[in-house]
Amino acid sequence: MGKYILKRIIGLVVLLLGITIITFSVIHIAPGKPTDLEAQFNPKVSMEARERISHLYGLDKPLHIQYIAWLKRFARFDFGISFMDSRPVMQKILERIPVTLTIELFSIILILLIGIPIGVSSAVKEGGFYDRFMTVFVFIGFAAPTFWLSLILMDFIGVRWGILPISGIKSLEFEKFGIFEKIIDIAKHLTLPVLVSAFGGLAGISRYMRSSMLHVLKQDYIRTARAKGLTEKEVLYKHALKNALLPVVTIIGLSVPGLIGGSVIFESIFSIPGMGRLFYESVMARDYPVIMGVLVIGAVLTLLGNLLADISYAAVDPRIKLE
Amino acid sequence: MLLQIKDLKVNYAGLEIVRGIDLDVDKGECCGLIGESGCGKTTVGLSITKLIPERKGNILAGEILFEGRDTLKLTSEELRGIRGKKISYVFQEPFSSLNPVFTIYEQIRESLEEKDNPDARIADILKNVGLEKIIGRKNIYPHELSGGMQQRAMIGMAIASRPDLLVLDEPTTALDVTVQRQILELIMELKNKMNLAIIFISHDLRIVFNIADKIAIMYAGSIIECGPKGKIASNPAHPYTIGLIDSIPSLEHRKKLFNAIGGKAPLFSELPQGCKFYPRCRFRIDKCLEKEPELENVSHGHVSRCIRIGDIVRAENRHNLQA
Repeated sequence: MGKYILKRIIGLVVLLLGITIITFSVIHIAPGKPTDLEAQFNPKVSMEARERISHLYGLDKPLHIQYIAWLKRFARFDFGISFMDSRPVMQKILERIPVTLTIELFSIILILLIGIPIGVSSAVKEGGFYDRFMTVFVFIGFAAPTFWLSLILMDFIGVRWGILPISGIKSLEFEKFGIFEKIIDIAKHLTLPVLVSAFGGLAGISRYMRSSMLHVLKQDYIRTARAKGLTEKEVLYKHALKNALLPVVTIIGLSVPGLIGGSVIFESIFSIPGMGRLFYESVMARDYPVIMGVLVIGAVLTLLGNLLADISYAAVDPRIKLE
Repeated sequence: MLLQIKDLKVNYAGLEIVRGIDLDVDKGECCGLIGESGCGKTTVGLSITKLIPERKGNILAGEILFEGRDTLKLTSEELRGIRGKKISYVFQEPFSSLNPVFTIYEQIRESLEEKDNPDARIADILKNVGLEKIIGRKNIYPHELSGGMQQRAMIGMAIASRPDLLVLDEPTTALDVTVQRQILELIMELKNKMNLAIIFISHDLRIVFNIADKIAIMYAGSIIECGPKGKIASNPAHPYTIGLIDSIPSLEHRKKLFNAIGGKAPLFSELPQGCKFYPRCRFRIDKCLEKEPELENVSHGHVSRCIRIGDIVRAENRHNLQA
């Protein structure tokens, strides 16, 4: 087990190196330059000034030299300085992570808590009204555009009924609140984004759970469990469910990178200063160090998520041994 | 009489695939139920405790009296009191019939009627089925056992609550020949020790001749011949049975009256008029097409569904005299 994990981690490092080479190249090859924002729209900036900026950022050097310089810093966990505001990339990312992580974490917990029971109960009542109703329900969530759904909810819940705030993560008078009120205030602000995000993700997990459960219910060992005289509850929620949950473990592992990825669309709509918007803004400004920082963290989490999925699969399925 | 099946008719996937079956099994008696794949024999076995998946099939008519009570009229609660306690099952594929994510110990423990001091009981059961090796090894999973050992574990589960009737559905078909023999010996040993009644479902006449006291032969959803093993072996009274017996490869060079039966069993969706065996029968006459023959007495306790019994028996005897 320990040896397996070590081997995998070595493999991951190599893979990560490859990912950074590709992303670094793609970003630099893409049209547009970081200097454009400062230089292009300002006729007063001369050619020399532009080159000076380029030189300052090291952008006049060949790509592979730039990459090696970046890699050297990255090896010391230094992501460099943002072109836009000269603040350390790490610091910019770290201030955005908590809000995105909170939203995504609550959203995935909600998805699992609602999606798994929907999937299981739909499979048990396959083809019935409940099953068909749930199919339509989760696919509405899947198919409805996030921005549209967000706007509708903001209009009704936020504006017409005034139940919840519609943007930002805290109220104006936040600083005056006590600790308890502060928590309530943030919770109120995050409710709509979490709900929108969870509704969209419900289809994936519930349909996956449904088909996994349907597959398991056709297995011979379910007939054996019934032939033993077990109650229907024991048959479904002990014998079937444990088998049906195995593939879902993988999905949970794979959703780890999404926890900090965030979503550009609903972070923009709800004015949430999260990772999604940071990434979007840095791409628009060709802020290479920030783009690379966000992408590398995403890549690391994806790779670790895969490893986590494999390890947890071995932990829950007695037939799988990691070697 | 322990079990009496009376005029059982079962619909499966829209077709009537069990078309009026009568079968009696006495305490301690082993009844072999023989037939080609798809003739309805498994469905008969499952019907006894209403194990046919509701979505797929339903019992149209008939009575199944177990200890005088009609199991078809029992509530699901009452059925659970019988399943695994008084009537147990062993299925064809031990690997897929055991739940892969629960230990052997746990799966046997579930079958125990008395839940107190399970370890001693399980050890006793494992000893009885020849699995002394895994006594005390509570974390053994099905995939860690060989096919023969898995089937022993299935049999252990089946006898855990000291049932009166064991339904064995092709229990040795998926096993190696040498292992088959060991499993058959185990079944016979348990039958004698526990005075078990057995319904042994198989397509292999040789195995059934070895272990059954009484044999019922099914063809296209109904029994075409039934009687004590000795009478069936020495005096088969239906052309299909004769064909089956002659299909057994023999080491002696016996001159055969029939070769292997030509043709294929008819599909339930296009059953022929009259005698269902007519298209493949060497004794057929036009009268066979008029209506499906009734079961007629050949001798005491021996019945056959053929209007030409007399001619067949004479021909077979003449053949034996010549040989």
